[in-house]
Amino acid sequence: MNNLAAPLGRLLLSLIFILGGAGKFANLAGTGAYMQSAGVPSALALPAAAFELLGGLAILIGWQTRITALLLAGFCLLTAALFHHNFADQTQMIMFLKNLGLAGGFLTLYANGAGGMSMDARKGA
Amino acid sequence: MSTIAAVIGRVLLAVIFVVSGIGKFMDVAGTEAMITGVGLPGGLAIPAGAFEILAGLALALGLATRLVSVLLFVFVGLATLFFHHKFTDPLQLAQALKNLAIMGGMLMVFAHSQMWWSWDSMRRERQGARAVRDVERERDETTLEAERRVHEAELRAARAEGRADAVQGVAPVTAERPVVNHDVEGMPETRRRRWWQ
Repeated sequence: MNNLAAPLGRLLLSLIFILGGAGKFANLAGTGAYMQSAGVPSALALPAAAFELLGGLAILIGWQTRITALLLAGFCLLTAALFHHNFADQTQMIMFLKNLGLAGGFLTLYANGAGGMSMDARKGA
Repeated sequence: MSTIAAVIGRVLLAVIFVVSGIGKFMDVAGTEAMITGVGLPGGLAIPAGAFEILAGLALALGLATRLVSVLLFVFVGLATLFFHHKFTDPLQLAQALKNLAIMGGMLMVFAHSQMWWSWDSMRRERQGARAVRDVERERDETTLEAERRVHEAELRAARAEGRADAVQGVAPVTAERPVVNHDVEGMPETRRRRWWQ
């Protein structure tokens, strides 16, 4: 049961980053403009997209899971603070809280390691 | 480090449920309208809010963690299906994906971290300590019983010796026998240790 829940959980956690990263690659100019509007340099669009995509894939296959999970938890908290800090808007507030929840999921992943069906487990790490 | 991360992770996952549960109570009518707006029956706002608050608190404390994480997994899944199913809207899609990721976090909690620094793990440790103490007390009682028998045997031997001396006309030897207070020295500690001590 746990050996099923862990890889399924990794899949669900990684989905938003893989799709989000791919979406940013597909629309780099728009992403840059969006980041500029939140006061973040638009030059970071490409690194952010690459980080999301690669980080998501690493979580999905369970490669270097713990360090990646810690990095993604930090990414979630950082983006929450940068992009969803307007608590007057209820949607923004919910997005902020969801980002906190995501960071929580990644911290749990960091604490536990990848679990079943992962590269880390195959290596015996 | 892992324990700290696991606890912070559980708390962060719990925050959104507690906050939005409180939000539902603050605006019952609005929540009701939102729920009936997607075709669900009315009267669900208060139960949903209460469930979110209670389950969130239980998750943060680590109370019945596995059960709670499965319940919240289903809850988030249903909420996603009913409220964020218009995937053509990028905002809805983003919300749905975040909900999926939170469901992933719930599975993570389910799979592993129920062990760590939670109400459940404290209770397990307490039960383990109690079992060890019971075994020790039983062993102490057995030892005491054996000592008591040796002591009685010595007494009988001494009395027999005294009788033999009396028969032979030897003056009896009187010696101060040290007083052993078994209540203090022999008995095991029986006061129950409570979990808050």
